[in-house]
Amino acid sequence: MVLLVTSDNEQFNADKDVVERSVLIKNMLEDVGESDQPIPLPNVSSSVLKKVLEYCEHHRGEPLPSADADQSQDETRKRTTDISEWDQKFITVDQEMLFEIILAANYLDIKSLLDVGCKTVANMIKGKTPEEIRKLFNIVNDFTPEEEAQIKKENEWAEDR
Amino acid sequence: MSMDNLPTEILCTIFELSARMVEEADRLLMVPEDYPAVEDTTSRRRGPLYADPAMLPPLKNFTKHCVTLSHVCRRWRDAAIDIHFLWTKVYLGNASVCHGETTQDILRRSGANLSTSTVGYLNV
Repeated sequence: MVLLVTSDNEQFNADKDVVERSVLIKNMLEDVGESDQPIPLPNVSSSVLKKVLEYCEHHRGEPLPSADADQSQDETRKRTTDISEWDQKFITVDQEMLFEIILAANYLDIKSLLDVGCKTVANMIKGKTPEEIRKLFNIVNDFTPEEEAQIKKENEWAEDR
Repeated sequence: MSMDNLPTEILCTIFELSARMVEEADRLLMVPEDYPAVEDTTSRRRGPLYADPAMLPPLKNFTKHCVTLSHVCRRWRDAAIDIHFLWTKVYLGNASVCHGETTQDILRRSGANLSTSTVGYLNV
Protein backbone atom coordinates (compact mmCIF):
# COMPACT_ATOMS: atom_id res chain seq x y z
CA MET A 1 0.00 0.00 0.00
CA VAL A 2 1.06 3.57 -0.65
CA LEU A 3 0.17 6.53 1.54
CA LEU A 4 -0.69 9.75 -0.27
CA VAL A 5 -1.14 13.14 1.41
CA THR A 6 -3.26 15.81 -0.29
CA SER A 7 -2.98 19.61 -0.26
CA ASP A 8 -5.62 19.77 2.50
CA ASN A 9 -3.65 17.25 4.57
CA GLU A 10 -5.90 14.25 4.09
CA GLN A 11 -4.28 10.84 3.88
CA PHE A 12 -5.24 8.16 1.36
CA ASN A 13 -4.04 4.57 1.31
CA ALA A 14 -4.07 2.92 -2.07
CA ASP A 15 -2.63 -0.14 -3.79
CA LYS A 16 0.68 0.35 -5.54
CA ASP A 17 -0.62 -0.91 -8.89
CA VAL A 18 -3.49 1.61 -8.65
CA VAL A 19 -1.40 4.69 -7.82
CA GLU A 20 1.27 3.71 -10.34
CA ARG A 21 -1.11 4.67 -13.13
CA SER A 22 0.32 8.10 -12.29
CA VAL A 23 3.73 8.39 -13.91
CA LEU A 24 4.66 11.06 -11.34
CA ILE A 25 3.90 8.75 -8.39
CA LYS A 26 5.46 5.75 -10.13
CA ASN A 27 8.70 7.70 -10.58
CA MET A 28 8.60 8.93 -6.98
CA LEU A 29 8.18 5.37 -5.69
CA GLU A 30 11.08 4.22 -7.84
CA ASP A 31 13.22 7.07 -6.52
CA VAL A 32 12.53 6.45 -2.83
CA GLY A 33 12.57 2.64 -3.09
CA GLU A 34 10.91 0.53 -0.36
CA SER A 35 9.68 3.09 2.15
CA ASP A 36 6.68 3.82 4.37
CA GLN A 37 7.12 7.54 3.83
CA PRO A 38 3.91 9.26 2.70
CA ILE A 39 3.94 10.85 -0.75
CA PRO A 40 2.91 14.50 -0.62
CA LEU A 41 0.65 15.77 -3.43
CA PRO A 42 0.58 19.52 -2.76
CA ASN A 43 -1.28 20.28 -6.00
CA VAL A 44 -4.18 17.89 -5.45
CA SER A 45 -7.04 18.32 -2.98
CA SER A 46 -8.73 15.39 -1.23
CA SER A 47 -11.98 15.68 -3.20
CA VAL A 48 -10.05 15.55 -6.49
CA LEU A 49 -7.69 12.76 -5.39
CA LYS A 50 -10.73 10.68 -4.40
CA LYS A 51 -12.02 10.96 -7.99
CA VAL A 52 -8.59 10.30 -9.47
CA LEU A 53 -8.18 7.15 -7.37
CA GLU A 54 -11.65 6.00 -8.42
CA TYR A 55 -10.52 6.32 -12.04
CA CYS A 56 -7.20 4.54 -11.42
CA GLU A 57 -8.93 1.75 -9.52
CA HIS A 58 -11.37 1.15 -12.39
CA HIS A 59 -8.59 1.10 -14.98
CA ARG A 60 -6.21 -0.94 -12.82
CA GLY A 61 -4.29 -3.49 -14.88
CA GLU A 62 -4.87 -1.83 -18.25
CA PRO A 63 -1.73 -1.23 -20.33
CA LEU A 64 -0.01 2.08 -19.69
CA PRO A 65 1.58 4.18 -22.43
CA SER A 66 5.25 3.24 -22.65
CA ALA A 67 7.73 5.55 -20.96
CA ASP A 68 9.38 6.38 -24.29
CA ALA A 69 6.05 7.04 -26.04
CA ASP A 70 6.95 9.05 -29.09
CA GLN A 71 5.05 11.81 -30.81
CA SER A 72 3.27 9.38 -33.14
CA GLN A 73 1.68 7.63 -30.13
CA ASP A 74 0.53 11.00 -28.84
CA GLU A 75 -0.95 11.74 -32.26
CA THR A 76 -2.82 8.43 -32.27
CA ARG A 77 -4.30 9.22 -28.86
CA LYS A 78 -5.45 12.60 -30.08
CA ARG A 79 -7.13 11.04 -33.11
CA THR A 80 -9.36 8.86 -30.96
CA THR A 81 -12.17 11.14 -29.90
CA ASP A 82 -14.58 8.64 -28.32
CA ILE A 83 -15.01 8.17 -24.55
CA SER A 84 -16.07 4.84 -23.01
CA GLU A 85 -19.42 4.63 -21.23
CA TRP A 86 -17.85 4.23 -17.79
CA ASP A 87 -15.50 7.17 -18.37
CA GLN A 88 -18.42 9.32 -19.54
CA LYS A 89 -20.33 8.61 -16.33
CA PHE A 90 -17.21 9.12 -14.26
CA ILE A 91 -16.50 12.54 -15.78
CA THR A 92 -20.10 13.78 -15.43
CA VAL A 93 -19.19 16.32 -12.77
CA ASP A 94 -19.56 20.08 -12.38
CA GLN A 95 -17.26 22.36 -14.37
CA GLU A 96 -15.02 23.18 -11.43
CA MET A 97 -14.38 19.50 -10.67
CA LEU A 98 -13.85 18.80 -14.37
CA PHE A 99 -11.07 21.38 -14.61
CA GLU A 100 -9.60 20.20 -11.27
CA ILE A 101 -9.47 16.63 -12.61
CA ILE A 102 -7.79 17.80 -15.83
CA LEU A 103 -5.16 19.74 -13.88
CA ALA A 104 -4.59 16.84 -11.48
CA ALA A 105 -4.25 14.37 -14.37
CA ASN A 106 -1.73 16.70 -15.97
CA TYR A 107 0.24 17.12 -12.72
CA LEU A 108 0.13 13.42 -11.84
CA ASP A 109 0.87 12.50 -15.46
CA ILE A 110 -2.08 10.19 -16.06
CA LYS A 111 -2.44 10.56 -19.82
CA SER A 112 -5.62 8.52 -20.25
CA LEU A 113 -7.45 10.57 -17.62
CA LEU A 114 -6.17 13.81 -19.13
CA ASP A 115 -7.57 12.62 -22.47
CA VAL A 116 -10.99 11.89 -20.97
CA GLY A 117 -11.10 15.38 -19.44
CA CYS A 118 -9.95 17.13 -22.60
CA LYS A 119 -12.38 15.18 -24.79
CA THR A 120 -15.23 16.09 -22.45
CA VAL A 121 -14.44 19.81 -22.72
CA ALA A 122 -14.01 19.44 -26.50
CA ASN A 123 -17.48 17.89 -26.67
CA MET A 124 -18.90 20.84 -24.74
CA ILE A 125 -17.34 23.32 -27.19
CA LYS A 126 -18.23 21.78 -30.54
CA GLY A 127 -21.16 23.25 -32.41
CA LYS A 128 -21.35 26.37 -30.25
CA THR A 129 -20.97 30.03 -31.22
CA PRO A 130 -18.28 32.19 -29.59
CA GLU A 131 -20.95 33.85 -27.44
CA GLU A 132 -22.34 30.50 -26.30
CA ILE A 133 -18.81 29.33 -25.41
CA ARG A 134 -18.16 32.53 -23.42
CA LYS A 135 -21.41 32.07 -21.54
CA LEU A 136 -20.76 28.37 -20.86
CA PHE A 137 -17.27 28.92 -19.43
CA ASN A 138 -17.72 32.45 -18.10
CA ILE A 139 -15.06 33.85 -20.45
CA VAL A 140 -14.71 37.61 -20.91
CA ASN A 141 -14.63 39.01 -24.44
CA ASP A 142 -11.41 41.04 -24.16
CA PHE A 143 -10.72 41.85 -27.81
CA THR A 144 -9.41 45.29 -28.70
CA PRO A 145 -11.41 47.37 -31.22
CA GLU A 146 -8.79 46.49 -33.88
CA GLU A 147 -9.18 42.78 -33.18
CA GLU A 148 -12.97 43.13 -33.22
CA ALA A 149 -12.70 44.70 -36.69
CA GLN A 150 -10.58 41.79 -37.93
CA ILE A 151 -12.98 39.28 -36.38
CA LYS A 152 -15.91 41.00 -38.09
CA LYS A 153 -14.11 40.54 -41.41
CA GLU A 154 -13.47 36.87 -40.64
CA ASN A 155 -17.14 36.41 -39.73
CA GLU A 156 -18.21 37.90 -43.05
CA TRP A 157 -15.71 35.59 -44.74
CA ALA A 158 -17.15 32.59 -42.90
CA GLU A 159 -20.76 33.56 -43.58
CA ASP A 160 -20.24 34.13 -47.32
CA ARG A 161 -19.04 30.64 -48.07
CA MET B 1 -11.30 26.99 -10.91
CA SER B 2 -12.26 27.74 -14.50
CA MET B 3 -11.16 27.36 -18.10
CA ASP B 4 -8.69 30.24 -17.51
CA ASN B 5 -6.69 28.00 -15.14
CA LEU B 6 -5.88 25.46 -17.83
CA PRO B 7 -2.36 25.74 -19.27
CA THR B 8 -2.21 26.78 -22.91
CA GLU B 9 -0.86 23.36 -23.88
CA ILE B 10 -4.03 21.70 -22.57
CA LEU B 11 -6.22 24.36 -24.19
CA CYS B 12 -4.55 23.55 -27.52
CA THR B 13 -5.17 19.82 -27.05
CA ILE B 14 -8.85 20.57 -26.39
CA PHE B 15 -9.05 22.73 -29.55
CA GLU B 16 -7.49 20.02 -31.67
CA LEU B 17 -9.77 17.33 -30.24
CA SER B 18 -12.89 19.44 -30.76
CA ALA B 19 -11.85 20.14 -34.37
CA ARG B 20 -11.30 16.42 -34.98
CA MET B 21 -14.77 15.70 -33.53
CA VAL B 22 -16.40 18.21 -35.89
CA GLU B 23 -14.42 16.83 -38.81
CA GLU B 24 -15.44 13.26 -37.98
CA ALA B 25 -19.11 14.18 -37.59
CA ASP B 26 -19.09 15.92 -40.98
CA ARG B 27 -17.39 13.00 -42.63
CA LEU B 28 -19.91 10.51 -41.25
CA LEU B 29 -22.83 12.65 -42.36
CA MET B 30 -21.74 13.47 -45.86
CA VAL B 31 -19.44 10.89 -47.42
CA PRO B 32 -20.88 7.46 -48.25
CA GLU B 33 -18.76 4.72 -46.70
CA ASP B 34 -18.34 2.99 -50.06
CA TYR B 35 -17.26 6.13 -51.89
CA PRO B 36 -14.06 5.32 -53.75
CA ALA B 37 -11.09 7.09 -52.24
CA VAL B 38 -7.45 6.19 -52.60
CA GLU B 39 -4.47 7.14 -50.49
CA ASP B 40 -2.02 9.33 -52.36
CA THR B 41 1.43 7.97 -51.66
CA THR B 42 3.20 9.81 -54.42
CA SER B 43 3.25 13.32 -53.02
CA ARG B 44 3.41 15.17 -49.71
CA ARG B 45 -0.37 15.43 -49.80
CA ARG B 46 -1.95 13.59 -46.86
CA GLY B 47 -5.22 11.70 -46.67
CA PRO B 48 -7.42 10.17 -49.33
CA LEU B 49 -8.00 11.64 -52.76
CA TYR B 50 -11.54 11.91 -54.06
CA ALA B 51 -12.28 11.70 -57.75
CA ASP B 52 -15.22 14.11 -57.66
CA PRO B 53 -14.61 17.42 -55.84
CA ALA B 54 -18.29 17.49 -54.90
CA MET B 55 -17.62 14.42 -52.76
CA LEU B 56 -14.65 15.85 -50.90
CA PRO B 57 -15.07 15.38 -47.16
CA PRO B 58 -17.10 18.38 -46.05
CA LEU B 59 -15.01 20.95 -44.27
CA LYS B 60 -17.46 23.79 -43.99
CA ASN B 61 -18.32 23.01 -40.36
CA PHE B 62 -14.68 22.21 -39.60
CA THR B 63 -13.52 25.57 -40.91
CA LYS B 64 -16.38 27.38 -39.16
CA HIS B 65 -15.49 25.65 -35.89
CA CYS B 66 -11.82 26.62 -36.14
CA VAL B 67 -12.77 30.23 -36.89
CA THR B 68 -15.16 30.15 -33.91
CA LEU B 69 -12.37 29.02 -31.57
CA SER B 70 -10.36 32.05 -32.61
CA HIS B 71 -13.28 34.43 -31.89
CA VAL B 72 -13.89 33.70 -28.19
CA CYS B 73 -11.25 35.83 -26.46
CA ARG B 74 -7.66 36.97 -26.97
CA ARG B 75 -6.11 33.96 -25.23
CA TRP B 76 -8.15 31.51 -27.31
CA ARG B 77 -7.39 33.45 -30.49
CA ASP B 78 -3.63 33.40 -29.90
CA ALA B 79 -3.74 29.69 -29.07
CA ALA B 80 -5.98 28.71 -32.01
CA ILE B 81 -4.01 30.70 -34.60
CA ASP B 82 -0.82 28.93 -33.53
CA ILE B 83 -2.26 25.44 -34.09
CA HIS B 84 -1.38 24.68 -37.73
CA PHE B 85 -3.65 21.63 -37.74
CA LEU B 86 -6.73 23.87 -37.52
CA TRP B 87 -5.81 25.70 -40.70
CA THR B 88 -4.29 23.03 -42.94
CA LYS B 89 -7.70 22.10 -44.33
CA VAL B 90 -9.79 25.13 -45.15
CA TYR B 91 -13.14 25.29 -46.90
CA LEU B 92 -12.86 28.26 -49.22
CA GLY B 93 -16.01 28.37 -51.35
CA ASN B 94 -16.79 31.74 -52.89
CA ALA B 95 -15.22 33.59 -49.99
CA SER B 96 -11.79 33.45 -51.55
CA VAL B 97 -13.01 35.74 -54.33
CA CYS B 98 -15.03 38.15 -52.20
CA HIS B 99 -12.58 38.34 -49.30
CA GLY B 100 -9.15 37.82 -50.81
CA GLU B 101 -7.22 39.50 -48.01
CA THR B 102 -9.01 37.60 -45.23
CA THR B 103 -8.61 34.33 -47.13
CA GLN B 104 -4.87 34.94 -47.29
CA ASP B 105 -4.79 35.66 -43.55
CA ILE B 106 -6.63 32.44 -42.79
CA LEU B 107 -4.45 30.38 -45.12
CA ARG B 108 -1.26 31.87 -43.66
CA ARG B 109 -2.12 30.22 -40.33
CA SER B 110 -1.47 26.79 -41.81
CA GLY B 111 2.25 27.56 -41.98
CA ALA B 112 3.56 25.65 -44.97
CA ASN B 113 1.23 22.72 -44.41
CA LEU B 114 -1.86 23.61 -46.39
CA SER B 115 -3.31 20.48 -47.93
CA THR B 116 -3.84 21.25 -51.62
CA SER B 117 -6.56 18.61 -51.96
CA THR B 118 -8.89 20.61 -49.79
CA VAL B 119 -8.23 23.83 -51.66
CA GLY B 120 -10.21 22.02 -54.34
CA TYR B 121 -13.31 23.48 -52.72
CA LEU B 122 -12.56 26.80 -54.35
CA ASN B 123 -15.68 27.54 -56.41
CA VAL B 124 -15.29 30.44 -58.84
